[in-house]
Amino acid sequence: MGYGNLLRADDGCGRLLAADLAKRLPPQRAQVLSAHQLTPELCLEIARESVDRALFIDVARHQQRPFVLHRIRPEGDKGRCGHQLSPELLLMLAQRLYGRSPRAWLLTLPAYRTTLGEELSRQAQAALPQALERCLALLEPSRRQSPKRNNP
Amino acid sequence: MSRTIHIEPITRIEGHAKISIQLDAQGRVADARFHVTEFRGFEKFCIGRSFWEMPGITARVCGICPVSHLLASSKAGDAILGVRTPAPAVSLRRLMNYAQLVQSHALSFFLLSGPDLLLGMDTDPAQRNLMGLIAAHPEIARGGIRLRAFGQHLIRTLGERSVHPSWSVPGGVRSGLNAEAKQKILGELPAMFTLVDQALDLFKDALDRLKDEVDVYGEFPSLFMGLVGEDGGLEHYDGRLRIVAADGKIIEDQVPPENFPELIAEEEEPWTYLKFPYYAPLGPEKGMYRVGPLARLNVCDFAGTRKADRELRQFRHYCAPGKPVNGSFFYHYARLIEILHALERIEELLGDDILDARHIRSRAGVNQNVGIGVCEAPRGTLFHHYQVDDHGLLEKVNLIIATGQNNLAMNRTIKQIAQRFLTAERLDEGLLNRVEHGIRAYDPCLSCSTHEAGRMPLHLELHGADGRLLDEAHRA
Repeated sequence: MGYGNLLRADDGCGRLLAADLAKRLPPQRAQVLSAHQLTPELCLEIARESVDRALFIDVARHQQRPFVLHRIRPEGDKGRCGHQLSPELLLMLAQRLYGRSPRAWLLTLPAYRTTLGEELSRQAQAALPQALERCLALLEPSRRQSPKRNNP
Repeated sequence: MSRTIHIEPITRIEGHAKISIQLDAQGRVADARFHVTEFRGFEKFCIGRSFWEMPGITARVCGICPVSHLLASSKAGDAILGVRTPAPAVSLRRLMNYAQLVQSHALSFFLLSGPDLLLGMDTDPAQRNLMGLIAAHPEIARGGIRLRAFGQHLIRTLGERSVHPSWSVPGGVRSGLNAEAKQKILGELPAMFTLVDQALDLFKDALDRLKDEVDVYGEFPSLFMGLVGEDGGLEHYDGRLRIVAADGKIIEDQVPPENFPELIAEEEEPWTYLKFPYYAPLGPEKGMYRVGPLARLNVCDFAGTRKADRELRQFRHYCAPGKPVNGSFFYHYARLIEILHALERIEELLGDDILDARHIRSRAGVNQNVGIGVCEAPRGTLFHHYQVDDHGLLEKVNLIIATGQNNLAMNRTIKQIAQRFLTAERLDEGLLNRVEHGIRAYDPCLSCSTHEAGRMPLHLELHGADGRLLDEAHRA
């Protein structure tokens, strides 16, 4: 699930990576979603019985490494809910409301340019292909050798 | 000595704001202000763009009700083209507008205001939140999420994406709806009606429990404005403007939306980026009006759908015969009735063969230099007013947004709540949340409503712990 604003340069990198993943992952085994922001109803998607792993893809400002991968778990974020949510809260909603929360990770890409426009920063452009391979290794471990290290 | 109490940030609303409450020397509430501290600049940076781009650009004003901006902007574009929008395109736009009402109202009622309404204003804040709501009423939280998903799915089916769809354009829409998608949506409707019925039952229970709040929140006379059909029925897409006074008298009726500048004037204050629209003939003091679900139900003669009309009759038990329901607490009730109405209208529209017609877009060039597009957004009447040159480039843009139109009433509501529930000696959580909830009842969208880049003078104040003014700075 890639999310961000495609008109805010690097902020949209999560969605660009999701679009690349959609081309590489078999549709019968993986559902790729792209969203402007995480909204409450998306918990219905990750609470499906057919979902055993979820990968959220976002950006982090001025991140040095091409990608950072974290295991994330359901967390209530003190129960605060607005029009957009954290991935941890989305997992918590899935667990509390539907009794299911898949194993989940958050992968962040570097964001150096978040001004209006679609042109990515040099760092973001360089990060995308590396992050794509890491995502494929995570989501399709049987087809690839999964690196033991989480982060480059 | 006077003292100012600040409450910030206001949680569970879109955007950022702060509230200040001014006490007098005796510690009584003298005034209360709702400060909106962000600005956007859409009215300025759109100048020079082509009006063809405006539906796509202005949809970006908001991630919650982009559809409203998309539609109002497309309608302004229709007027610039000077064409008749094909009837199937109008039906498809209506369908998307109703879908947005469902998703936006569902989020507001079930997930944002639900914790206050169903758990009580004095509940421990550690519990009075979404997780507390899930623990106490999981079926309500699930219901809110399902209704949201239903509305978002319908918007996505029509416009490819649920946030910022670029589907409606000047002259019509880009694509229709296929039979399979129609059947899928129709199949989901019965469950949606059940969810709203359950929520209505719970809300009516809450009305009994929260009598103190019901009697105070925004319970003051004001004008109400909204669109109505030619027959006076509830209208969300087309129609004409009607204004009803506090005594129930209709003071403006069947006013063509393009004549809105004769009805509405705007004031500014140095302490907020949010403007203060008012009914021009009565001036800023007496011309305070409210828009949105409560106003729409107050100005219409009937809803025009069976289930919503049944609820509307009950809704009107909360006011004297022939008078509007004044309490802003009833915005919540009005939202549920509007969800019901929207679901009924969606059912009607999906059963109409007109959606199968292929002619969904009229094509033309610039035939008019001024275009005004109006529709009812979830939060109230939305105006897009464009002036273009002969090439269609924008020379002037004016957006009048629902939240701004409720600004005077929101400030009045805060003052009223503070006067009723605040004592100088005690600032408890219950009071803070009541003030916040008074604002949340209007479901304001602050990112939409601020658009005065560069013109708003700023006034900064620095207060010491004892309330004394230590320093201040002005920017003209």
